[in-house]
Amino acid sequence: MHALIQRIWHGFVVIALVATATFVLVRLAPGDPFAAALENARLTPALREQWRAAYGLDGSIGTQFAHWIASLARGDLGFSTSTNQPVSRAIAAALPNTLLLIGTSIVIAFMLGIWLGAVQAAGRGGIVDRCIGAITLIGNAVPDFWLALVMLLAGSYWLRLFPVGGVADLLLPLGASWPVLLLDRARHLVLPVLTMVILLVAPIARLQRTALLDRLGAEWVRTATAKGVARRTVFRRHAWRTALGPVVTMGGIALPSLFGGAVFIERVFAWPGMGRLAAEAVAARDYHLVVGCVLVGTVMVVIGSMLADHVSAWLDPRLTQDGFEPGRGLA
Amino acid sequence: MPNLRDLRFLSLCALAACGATPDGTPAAAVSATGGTLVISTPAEPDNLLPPITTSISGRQVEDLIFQRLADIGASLNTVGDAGFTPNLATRWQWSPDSLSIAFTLDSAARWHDGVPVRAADVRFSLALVTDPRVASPTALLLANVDSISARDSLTAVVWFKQRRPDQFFEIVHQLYVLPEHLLRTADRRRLAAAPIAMMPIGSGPFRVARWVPKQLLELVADTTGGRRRAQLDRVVFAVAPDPVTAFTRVVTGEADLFEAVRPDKVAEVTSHPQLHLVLTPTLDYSYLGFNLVDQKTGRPHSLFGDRMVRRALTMATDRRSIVMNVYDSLAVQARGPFTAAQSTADTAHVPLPFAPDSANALLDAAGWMRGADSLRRRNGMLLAFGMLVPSTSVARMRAAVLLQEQFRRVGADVRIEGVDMGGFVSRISARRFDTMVGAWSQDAGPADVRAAWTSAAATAGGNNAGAYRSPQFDAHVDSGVAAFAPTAMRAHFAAAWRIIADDAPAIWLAEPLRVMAVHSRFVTSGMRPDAWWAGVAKWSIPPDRRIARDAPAPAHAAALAPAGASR
Repeated sequence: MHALIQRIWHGFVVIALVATATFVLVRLAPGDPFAAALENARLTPALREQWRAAYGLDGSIGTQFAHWIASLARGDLGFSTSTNQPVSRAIAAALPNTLLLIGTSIVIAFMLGIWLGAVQAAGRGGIVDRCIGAITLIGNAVPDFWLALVMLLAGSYWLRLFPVGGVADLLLPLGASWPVLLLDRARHLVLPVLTMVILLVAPIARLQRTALLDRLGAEWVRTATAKGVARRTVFRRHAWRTALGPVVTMGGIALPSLFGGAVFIERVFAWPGMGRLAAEAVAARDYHLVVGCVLVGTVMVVIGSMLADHVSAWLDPRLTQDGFEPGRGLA
Repeated sequence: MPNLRDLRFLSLCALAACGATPDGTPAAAVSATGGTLVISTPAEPDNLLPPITTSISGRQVEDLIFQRLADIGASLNTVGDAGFTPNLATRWQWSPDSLSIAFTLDSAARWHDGVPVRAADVRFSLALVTDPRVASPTALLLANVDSISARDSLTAVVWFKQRRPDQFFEIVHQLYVLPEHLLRTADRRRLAAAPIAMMPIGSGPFRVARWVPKQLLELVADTTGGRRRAQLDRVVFAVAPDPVTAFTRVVTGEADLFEAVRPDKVAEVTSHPQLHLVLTPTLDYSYLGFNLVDQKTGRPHSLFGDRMVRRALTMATDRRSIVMNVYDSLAVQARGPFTAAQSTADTAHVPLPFAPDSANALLDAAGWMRGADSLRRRNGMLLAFGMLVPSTSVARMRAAVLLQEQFRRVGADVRIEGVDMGGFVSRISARRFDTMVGAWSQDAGPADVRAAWTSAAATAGGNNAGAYRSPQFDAHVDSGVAAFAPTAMRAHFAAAWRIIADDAPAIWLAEPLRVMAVHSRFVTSGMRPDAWWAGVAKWSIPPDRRIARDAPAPAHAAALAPAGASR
C-alpha cells in the first residue's frame, strides 16, 4: 500500500511538473491566440488586446499561472479560444474517440504482435521467421503520415471499401438504430485502426521474438525440457509468460507516443480525437486547450506506466521477489 | 495538367457565373426544391455570431443563416446603392440630404424560432456590434453610422455621421441583423462563450440543425414564414483538417464541393465525369513585402529603405514565371495592391517590368557591386536578407524559392525563413523581418486598401507591416474613397496605384483564382468574387439528377419544420 501511495505521489509530481512546463513554454512560443488572423484588416491591435484581456491572457505569465491554478482547483481547465467552449468539454468530446481508436488498435496490435513474435521465435531462423521479420522491419520503418495517406487512398479511393474519414456517416439519420450506428462506427474505424496496428505490431513482434528467444535459452526452460515437460507446455507456461513482461512494459511506455502518433492518423482520417485536438490547439495557440491536452495525456501516461509495472509483476512474479519496486519500474 | 486557357474551362467559368447548367439549361427553369449539398472543408468556423467571427469558414455559414438588409451586386459596386438587391429590407428611401436611409423590412421575415423580425432588431444589431465590450472587428467598419432608430415595427432608419459614397455599402454589407430577444441578456464581454454562438438563430434561408465540432455542421432549409425558401433541403459542411482527405471526399463522391483545389489536382478533378471544375476570381493577392524600417534603430532599413534597391529587386522578379510555376494557369499576375474584380481596379496599370539588365544597372548605381562570388556588396556589407514565409502555405513556399533564385541572379543572397503561421504572424507583428511573402484577402469596399498600405496602418501593430508611408498615396486613396462619381474614384485609385508601384514597397505576385470541384448535378449561381457561397440558397438539383443523399430522410424531414417545433 505504501508503495502504491508513493507511486501515486510520484505520478502527481510528474503531472504537476509537466503541466507547469507546458503552461510556461506554450506562452513563450511566438504568437498568441488572437494574432493568427493578422492578415485580416478588421483585426486591429486594440481589438486583439481587448480579446486578450477578456480571456485573461493580458497579464504576466505568473499572474496567468496563478489564475489557472485557482481555476484548476475548482475543476475548471479554462476556456478554449479556438473551439469557443470550456476546455473540459472539448476534451470530453475528443477523449472517447481517441480511447476507442487507440484502445482498439492496442488490443489488436498486441494480440497480433505477440502471436507473430511467438511464431517467429518458435521457428527461429526459418522461412516464416525471416518473412515476418522482413515485414515487421518494413512496418517499423514506414512513417505514420505516409502510411495513413496510403491507407486512405487504398481503402477509400482505389478500392472504395471504406469511408474517407470521420467517426460516423455525415448523413446518417438522427434516429438510426444501434446496429446501424455500430456498423457505421466500425466501418469508420477500419482504416485508422489498421494503420495504427501496422505501425504498432512491428515493434511488438520484434520485442516479443527477442524476449522469447532469451527465455527459451534460460536455465529453467532447459531444466523443464530435461524433466520431460512437453515442448508446447514449456513454451507457453515457462517461456512465453515471462517473455510478455517487456512487451507489457513497452505498452505502458508507448502510450505517450501513441497519443503523439495519433496526431497524423487522426488528421488524415478526420478523426476528432485528442491528437488532432492538441495539434490544432498548438497551431491556434490555444493556451488553455494545449495545457489541458497535455495534462490529460500525462495522466494517462502515468496511469499506463503504473498499470504496466503491475501487470509485468503479475506475469513474472520473480520481479517482485527479486526486490522489484513498482516506483522504480523494471530494470 | 490541363491548361485552363482551354475553352472548356472558360466555358465552365462562364456557366458558373451566369447560373446555367452545364448542358445549357437556364437555372430559372429548375424550380423544384430538395437535395443535399455536402461541402468538404478543412476549416471549421470559429463561431457563428457575426460580430465576433473572424474566420472565412464562419462567414460562409453566417451568410446562409443570417440576413443583411440588402446584398451587394455581382459588380461589387460600393458607390451609392446601384446594383444592390433587396434582402431583409424590401425597399429603402434616402433622405434628401443623404444622411439617413429608411429601410422597410419584409413583413414576412421571421427568426428561425418563429418570432417576427422587427426594426428593433436592426437597431439592436448596431448597438451590439458597436458596443466596446463586444470588441467586434466590424465596429470600425460601421464608424460612419451614427445610430439606427425604429420608425415603426418594420421601418429602420439608419443615420449617418457623414455623407459618403460607400455609406449604403457599409450599413447593408457590414451589418448582419441579429435577434434582440435572444442576445439581449448575453454577456457582451464573452459573446463567443454564449451557447447561441454555437447554435445561432437567424432569419436567413438556412438554419443550424446540428454542429458536431471537428466533424460536421448541418444546415437545413428554413421554412418559417411565407417567404421563398432555399432550393436545397440542406447544406452539410464536412470538416476534414487534412486537405488531401477533404479533397478525397469529393472525388469519392462522399461530398459535393471542395473550394480549394490545388493546381496539381486539377487533372484529377477533370478525370471524374461527375465533377465540374469551377473557376471564379477572388479578392486575394500574394506579394513580397519589404520592411522599409529597421526596427532596432527606427531608421530606414539598410537595404529596403533605399527605393532604388526595391525597384531593382522588383525588376529582377519574373512574376510571369512565378505565377506559372506556382499556380500553372490558375492565377493571374497581380498588378498592384488590388485585384481585377474590384471596382477600384485599374486594369490598364502597368507595373514595373521584368528587366534584369535594368535591375543590375540600378543596383550598380546604388553602389552595390558584384564580387568574385557574384554576390553584391557595398562598403563591405553583403546584399543579403531574410525572406519570411509561412511554411504551411505550399504556394508561398514555392514562390519564395523562385524569388530566392531570381534575386540570386542579380547578386542578392536570400535566406528563406519558413515558420509556422503563428510564428509568421508574431514576427510580422513585431516587425522582425526583412522581407515576407504575404497574402491579403480584401473586402469589396474601396476603403480596404487603407488597412494594408496607408500611413495610418503603418503604426505599431497595424497591417502595413513594412511601414510604407506616402502622403501622396494616402491622399489619392482618401480622395478615391470619398469620390461619389465612379470615374473620379477610379482616377484617384489609378493615381494611387501608380505612386505605390513607383515606390515599390512590395512586389505584387499573383491573384489566385478560386478553383472549386463541384458535383455536376448542381445548378449553381451567384458566385461572387468575395463570396462564392452567396447564392447557395438559389442553387438547385434537377429532380432527375438527384442521388440517394438528396432524398429527405425521416429525421431530416422533421428537422425542416420550424425551429420552435423541433426543439
